Amino acid sequence: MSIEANSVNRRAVLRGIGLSIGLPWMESLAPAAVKSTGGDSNPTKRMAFLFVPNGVHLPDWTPNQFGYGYDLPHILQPLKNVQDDLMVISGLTHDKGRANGDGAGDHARSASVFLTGAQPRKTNGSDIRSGVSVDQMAAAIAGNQTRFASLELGCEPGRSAGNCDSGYSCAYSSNISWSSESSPVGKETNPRFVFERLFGSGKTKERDQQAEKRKLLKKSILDFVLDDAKSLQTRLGKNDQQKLQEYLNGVREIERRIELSNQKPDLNTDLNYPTPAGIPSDYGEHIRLMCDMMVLAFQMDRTRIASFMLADAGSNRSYRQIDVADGHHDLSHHRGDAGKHAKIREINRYHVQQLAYFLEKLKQTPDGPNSNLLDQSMICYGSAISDGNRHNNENLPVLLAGSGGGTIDSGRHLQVDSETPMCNLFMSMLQKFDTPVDYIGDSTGTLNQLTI
Amino acid sequence: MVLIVSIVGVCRADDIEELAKKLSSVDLSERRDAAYAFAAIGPAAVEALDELAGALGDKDTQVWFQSITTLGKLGPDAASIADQVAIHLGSDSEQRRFRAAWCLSRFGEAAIPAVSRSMKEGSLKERVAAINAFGSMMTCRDQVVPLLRSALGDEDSSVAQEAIGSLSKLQATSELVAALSDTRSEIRIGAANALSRVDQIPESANSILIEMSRESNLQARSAAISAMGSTNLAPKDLQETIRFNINTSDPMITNSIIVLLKKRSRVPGLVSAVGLGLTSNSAEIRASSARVLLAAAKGTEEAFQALIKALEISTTDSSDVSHAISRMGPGVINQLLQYQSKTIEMEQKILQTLYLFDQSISDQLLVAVSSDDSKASVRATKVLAAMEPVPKKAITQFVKALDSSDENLQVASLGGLGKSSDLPDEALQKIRDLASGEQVSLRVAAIVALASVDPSSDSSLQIFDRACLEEDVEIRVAILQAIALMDGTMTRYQEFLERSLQDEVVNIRSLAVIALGKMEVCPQRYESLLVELLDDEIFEIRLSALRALAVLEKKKAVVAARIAQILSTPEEKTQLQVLEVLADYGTSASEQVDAITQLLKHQSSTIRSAAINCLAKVNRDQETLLGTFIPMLDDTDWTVRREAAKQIGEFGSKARIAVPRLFVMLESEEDEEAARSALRSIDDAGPEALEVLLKGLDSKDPRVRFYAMFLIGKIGPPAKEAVPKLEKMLDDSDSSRFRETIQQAITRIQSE
Repeated sequence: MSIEANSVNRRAVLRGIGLSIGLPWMESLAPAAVKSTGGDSNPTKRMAFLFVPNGVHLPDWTPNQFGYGYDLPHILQPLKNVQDDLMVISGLTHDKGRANGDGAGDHARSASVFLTGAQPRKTNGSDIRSGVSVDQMAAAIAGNQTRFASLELGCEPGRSAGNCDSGYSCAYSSNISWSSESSPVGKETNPRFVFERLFGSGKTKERDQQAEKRKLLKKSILDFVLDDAKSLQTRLGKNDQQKLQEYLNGVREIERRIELSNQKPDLNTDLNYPTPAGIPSDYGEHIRLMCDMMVLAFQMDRTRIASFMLADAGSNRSYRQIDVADGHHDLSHHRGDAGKHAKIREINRYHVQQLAYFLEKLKQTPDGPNSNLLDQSMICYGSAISDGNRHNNENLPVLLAGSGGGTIDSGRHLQVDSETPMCNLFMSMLQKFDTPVDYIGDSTGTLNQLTI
Repeated sequence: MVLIVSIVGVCRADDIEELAKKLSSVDLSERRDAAYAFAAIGPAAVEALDELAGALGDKDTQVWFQSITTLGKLGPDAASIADQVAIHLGSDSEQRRFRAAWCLSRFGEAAIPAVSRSMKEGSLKERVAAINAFGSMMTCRDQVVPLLRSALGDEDSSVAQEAIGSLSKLQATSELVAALSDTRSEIRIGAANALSRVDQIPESANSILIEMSRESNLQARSAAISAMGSTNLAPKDLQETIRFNINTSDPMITNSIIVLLKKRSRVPGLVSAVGLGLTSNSAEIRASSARVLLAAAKGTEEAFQALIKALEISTTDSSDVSHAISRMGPGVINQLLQYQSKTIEMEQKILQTLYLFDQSISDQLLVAVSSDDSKASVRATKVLAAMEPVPKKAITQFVKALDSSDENLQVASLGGLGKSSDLPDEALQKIRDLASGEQVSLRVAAIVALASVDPSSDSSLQIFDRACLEEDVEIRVAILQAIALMDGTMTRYQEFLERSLQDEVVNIRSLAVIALGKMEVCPQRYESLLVELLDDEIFEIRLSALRALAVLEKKKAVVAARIAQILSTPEEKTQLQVLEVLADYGTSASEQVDAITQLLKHQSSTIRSAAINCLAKVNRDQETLLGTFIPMLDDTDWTVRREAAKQIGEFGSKARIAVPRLFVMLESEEDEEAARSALRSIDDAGPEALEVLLKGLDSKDPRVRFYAMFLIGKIGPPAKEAVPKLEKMLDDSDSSRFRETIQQAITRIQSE
């Protein structure tokens, strides 16, 4: 076992056979230049994309005022602690989510277009075609700087083939990340596997053996790096010693929550969405664990790019935890029914609550002497359908959180011109991520209003 | 590094030829595949220029889109077909116009003649799209800018506004500065908004912007203030601009001041200028000023000092300022704890501010409790004691502090212990000792604490009995507070309470009344006593009697009648309290409707709003209520109109008589949300609304037009005369949402 500075990204790690724990930013281990200037002139940026299905109830999503200091509407109120780090963007369009001659299948189109901006070929065969997604474009350029080029997460396993929506392949409705126009990147839905992936190291056989050994001995990964941790403590300042302890406690807490998964069946479990072993039966806990994984991955600098489908396109999951027994997709076809509106907005708010959890965690995680992970991130949250009843693809509900290492003036409600492609936002994000491209999907340029 | 995503495999000449053929195939899937392949090929696609141009006539949207994308990516190499592309600038589809403009902008200089023709000779939509295309032609900026300058003179303001947008994209600063002097306000506003996005505005614009920032048109002011962020205006000018505008709580102005502060963050004195708004008499101005500080200067020492200064000098309600300080975050806790307040009022304000923080600051407070700074230690203890629930970690500190020599710290700790549960015997004994001790202030705090944590032990009862016999006013106040905490279970103090009601000290009489209201025994007897006290000459006593009556379980009409009599009191605070109590009584107070209705004419908007709310609770006659509430939609104060709209919405479709008035309210910025919400609840526009709805179809505001067509559809067949207008709108509209709503409306009207 040894403590090593990670040659790729300057972060220290605690190593054991078959596993390694990347350490968060700590002043004692920071390069001298950063210590002396009090900041990193070229901060490490992160980006994540979170997808929610079936659109939202826009009257309770869209703030009434534009610019700074807007009042958060009902659905967005859980974000009050991060409002200054948040930009609500109204008016973006995903034209390629529209039928454009292909008829029904809006839900499948909405997922496949969300990060690609490309019209999916209407097929349920193997001849699928979409486009390269924004996260994968960034990963193709900058992914070699971290152990994993990107992380793709979800909560519903979905299917990779077959007909899922009016003749569209399930590959379209189950994936938002595409590495090429015909290759969706399968998402991981089991927090345990994500955890193993983040902390495992060395050869696959070693990793598996290590995991098996921990399981047999009922031990934590921390037990295998204890000596390293003690040794490291002697090199750290007092503040950093406390930080390290808090960090390791945090890792242990997540590990413990994963162990608990499925041990306590939840009465609110949706029978239409059974949960396999290792996946929490509580949907909220499942989302939050995945968010914790993304925070850990960013904190350890295992990857800087992630995508996360909170649910697959057209998901008909019920939300008994907030007293909504009807399926989400069924409700989204509300036909103006006020009762259904009320339920949809509560589902929308529930999703936003989970986002708030993620953003607050990022904000609480230091990353550099005077900044936190949220400062260095660009977190894009939204849906490629605006109103689930009309299945329209203009004026999409989109949030952009974080200030991208100081490149975004957050805290505003931004209104863009009608028909502005969502891909223009992606172009800007890629530019700010130092991975510019000529085009993505149907982009026509960048979104220059992200700064004032 | 630039990533070019392309399929490079398909670029041999014969492959191109084959694809070009497929582009005109009768088989749609072949045409689509070819179009997609071309979009991915890159420069080699130029070999099929004619076929790609031909594909722009394809009826299939995907073939069209991929072809125009390919042409756009080819850039100047494809410019020879600019005329064919320019045709699509006049398309009915907004998306197609948008894409055609993009494609032409990629062609660059060679496309200027075609675009220029569209700009001069095309339909309104085409002219706008052409100008949009010019806006992206940065490579031939010098040729395009003069053309756009001429478009500024277009008689249609939407064309001129689009020209402003394009000049902005091309950073044509001189033209934008010139446009600031345009006679049309929308052009001046557009120019100022555009200038706010440039790095440095020429000095020649300074005086114009200063003038604009004082106009009566709020949009103009807002745009000018934002633009000032990019000027070199002197600090004095910027400070004056802020001082002039900070007393306008309009969200647009608030936003522009934030932009100005963010852009000129290093200019001294700007934050202090905002601080002036924090001392305004208007709650809205205080709130908007706080909003500015939090958005533009959160966490800065300057902002904290401005807020503290505002807290010091505020003579009205300072809660907005306190809230703003609390939103600065835990970083200001130590400054607040150590602040040297010079007056008792300021000490209270500091504490009120600290109370607004949540449990997350408890660790910081615990550190302060043990510090050498006695003021900080006492404040921290008070804040911990006020938390709900009291943090467990604090209890040990509270018990320890009982042995302190600092009396203030002991009193504050007793406050916290009084809210704790399961105290160890040692702590209870210490509290009892203090309650029986010599120092009055400690006895007072200990008696109140005992009433919560140990109200019925023999030791405590003996202490309480002794206190009832004391002459000292503070002790008697304490025992009355203690009795009020005992939840009405203590009957042994009836005699003491009745004696206290005759006491010459107002506070004692008042507390006795409150305690009486909590007694469970002999309610009838005390009810009449409380009603009598409603006539007490002391305001506080009358208020306490009201509060006490409000908590009595049996709410009777006779009590309600007596309470209603107080409505004629000149004190607003009492009237509000009475309205709240009556609303709580519900239909038991129904005979007081006339008295409550009188208050709808009260000079205070707060009272008028409360009266509306109260009437809705005590009167169940919806027809009468509607007749009463609808005129309130014309109240001079928007908060009253909002309350009226809210209550009217509660009646659902029965309130459709209110639809015409509510609909007109949609046009008003401050009423829009309330009216929209009420209209949504009513969800039924009767034929009587048709006239106003037809006018709404012509509104400039798309939201109003949308609601008009939606509600006309709800009227159904009696709205036949709207059909021709709706059909025309169906033809003209680009928005799928609008089209869908119009179609639904027409279908419903023609459903007979």
